[in-house]
Amino acid sequence: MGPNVAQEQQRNDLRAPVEDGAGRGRSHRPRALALVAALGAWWLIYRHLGAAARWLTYSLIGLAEGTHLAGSVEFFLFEVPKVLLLLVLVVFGVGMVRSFFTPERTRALLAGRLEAVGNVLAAALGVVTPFCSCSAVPLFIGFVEAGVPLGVTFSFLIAAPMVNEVAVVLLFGLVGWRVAAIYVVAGLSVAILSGWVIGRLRLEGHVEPWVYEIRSISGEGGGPRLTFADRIDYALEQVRTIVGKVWPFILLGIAAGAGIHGYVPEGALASFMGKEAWWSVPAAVLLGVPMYSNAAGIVPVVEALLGKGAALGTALAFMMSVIALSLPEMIILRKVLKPRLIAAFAGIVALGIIAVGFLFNAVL
Amino acid sequence: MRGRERFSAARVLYTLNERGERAVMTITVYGPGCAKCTQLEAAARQAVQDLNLGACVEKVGDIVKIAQAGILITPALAIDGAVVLKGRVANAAEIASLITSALDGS
Repeated sequence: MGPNVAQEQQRNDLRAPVEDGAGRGRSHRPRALALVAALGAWWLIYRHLGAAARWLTYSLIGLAEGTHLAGSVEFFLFEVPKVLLLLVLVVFGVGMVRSFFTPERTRALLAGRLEAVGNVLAAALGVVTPFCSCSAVPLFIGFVEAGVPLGVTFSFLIAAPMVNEVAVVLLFGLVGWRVAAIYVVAGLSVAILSGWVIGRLRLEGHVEPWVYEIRSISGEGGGPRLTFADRIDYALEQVRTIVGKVWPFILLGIAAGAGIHGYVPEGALASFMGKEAWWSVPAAVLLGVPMYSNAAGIVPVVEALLGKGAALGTALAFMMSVIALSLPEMIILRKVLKPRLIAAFAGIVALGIIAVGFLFNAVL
Repeated sequence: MRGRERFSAARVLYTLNERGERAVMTITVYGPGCAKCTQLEAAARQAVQDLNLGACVEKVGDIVKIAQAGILITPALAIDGAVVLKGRVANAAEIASLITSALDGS
């Protein structure tokens, strides 16, 4: 975290005199310069992480090369700053993008959309629209009230928590870019198809009737137009909140990973989480649904599972069911959905995740 | 916000509501009870204290009422019913400036 604190300080130093003056428009140039400087510093640090980890392990700590302990220490000293740096960069970038996509704008884009096109658009917007699972219900009501079809609303509600930047960065950093890409495509597909099926089933009657009667006051307002400086502030705030929340999980996860690699025999999980055990995919989903964790907590586990012989489809199905389906969320949604619609939602998403698991176990 | 006047007596701030009655300025924090909502409520109370106002800070946790206010993402903050902040936590200084500009605009 050290280098980031330094960058942060640098930004603050540049920002301070500008904010003391009254002119907001003048703050563009120093912000942009600070941003470029920070990006340059980021790239320099990122490129030299490997060399720094080696120097720390073998020269500073003085561990003998080739031993298991030295390997684990070097792995830890390289992976932790690497993943944190990636996370800071991506959360910042996604924060900038999200500052353009308010839930109100997304709702306007989705209102009255035909199904199919609407489901695809909703899943994609679910990735870039700011979302917090504690506002799932107001968001659901607001979407339905504005005429967003039920299935399209569900595509959004499934994609928003499942395909998030923390999950993607951690998969990219700990497992590799191919698995990260597969996860994004699979997650979007589950969201699109599950939403489409829910729409086809015509379950509108299983939404609590009062939802359709709510006439809320216009959702407009919410402050002045954001300037470039505001967007940077918003993105930095996202970095502080998200990285501040997940770094202990990353530290623990990578430490556990570094240890497990040496002490659990290779292929220990192959017999019951490998491709041959067909029942492992539904079992992983059944196990994952009642579990509730964020991506930061689950990716290191998935990485360890994969390393010890679990099949990719099984591991991804487990991760998706933990992140996308959770008991607390269903209890919250019970306020607006009748039990049969909640059951349909959970069942269809679970089936979609199982299908993804089987598909990847079959083709990879 | 239009057509209202401002009275300040004993540091209690009054505004005129739509019916022309004198009412204490109300700052509403919307949020079902997540960590961010609690932070925003604390910041709003701090801002009122810093400005030395007698404004009333209320917390709305009922998701139906949150939806009725037209809010899609929490936490949110409204001053006399007008939503001025959505989807993020603000510090006391920012809320204080929102309150001040709401007063100037009325």
